[in-house]
Amino acid sequence: MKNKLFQLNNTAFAVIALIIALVIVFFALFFQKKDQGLKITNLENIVLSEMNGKQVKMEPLLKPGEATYICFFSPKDCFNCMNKGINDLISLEKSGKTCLAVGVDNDLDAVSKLADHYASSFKAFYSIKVNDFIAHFTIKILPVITAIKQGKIENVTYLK
Amino acid sequence: MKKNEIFFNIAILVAIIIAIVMVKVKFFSGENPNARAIQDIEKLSVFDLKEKPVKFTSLLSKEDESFVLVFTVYDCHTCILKGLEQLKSLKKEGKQAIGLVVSDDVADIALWAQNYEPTNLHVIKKVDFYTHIKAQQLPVMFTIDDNEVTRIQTITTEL
Repeated sequence: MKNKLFQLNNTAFAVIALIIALVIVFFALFFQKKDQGLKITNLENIVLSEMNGKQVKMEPLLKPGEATYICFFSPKDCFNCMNKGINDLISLEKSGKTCLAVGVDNDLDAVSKLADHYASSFKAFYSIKVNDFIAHFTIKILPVITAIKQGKIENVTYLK
Repeated sequence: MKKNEIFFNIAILVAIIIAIVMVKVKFFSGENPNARAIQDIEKLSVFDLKEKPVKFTSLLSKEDESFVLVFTVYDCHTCILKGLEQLKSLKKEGKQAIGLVVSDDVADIALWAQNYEPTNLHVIKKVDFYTHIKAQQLPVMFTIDDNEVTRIQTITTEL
């Protein structure tokens, strides 16, 4: 009888221990602190517009193996913030980095006007439709300078 | 010992080991989440206001924590002042406190600095900032201990 009771206690203890372990594993796997979520989806499908309206794929514009710095802005953003971003790109380009300025707007003309403003110092202006930007990037605040390396967002610096 | 007793003992042991490993991985991994905020810190060079290049790590305290405020002169003015005040009070406490201005024009920053009480100001070139420092927003105060960022505090107008 005593032996049977010991066996029962042992069984209960084993079951409780297993349940506790499973609960810990469950919490560890499914309730980890979520990543900030800055990512690009389907990079190979992202299409940008050049200032003459010609459509180009974004992926070949990125420098393989190195960070490419992209300033995403909306022509409606605060001009000073956007200006700071473009000036930083100019500086990075002078230091040998690959840089792009991408206007997030459905109106190519609005981005094109800004590109004209910087024509003498920075030429790599592109435009992306708002819905395409939302579909491919999880960045919520503009303007921003993103460092993209090997198809991943390595860093973001908000310009506001 | 009966067969099922052995089985249950092993089950208990396995469960306890899983629990210990998971708790260790989750809560005591020892990984510092801020460590990557400044990359290749040993290679980072900054400039003093006389345009003389200085190794960034040579500015940091060897024994204690150092505090580094990174900002551009175009950031929110109140936030810059707040950060500079923090540097001053840290310096009074005997801490190593450094201001790092992101700019390609050191002479311009030297002029700008004349408007402020002397603070340990240095300049970091934009390319070095974007290559080495991962800061989502400026101004930001880094706490650095033993060449590793241990704390990141974004300076805002909020208390």
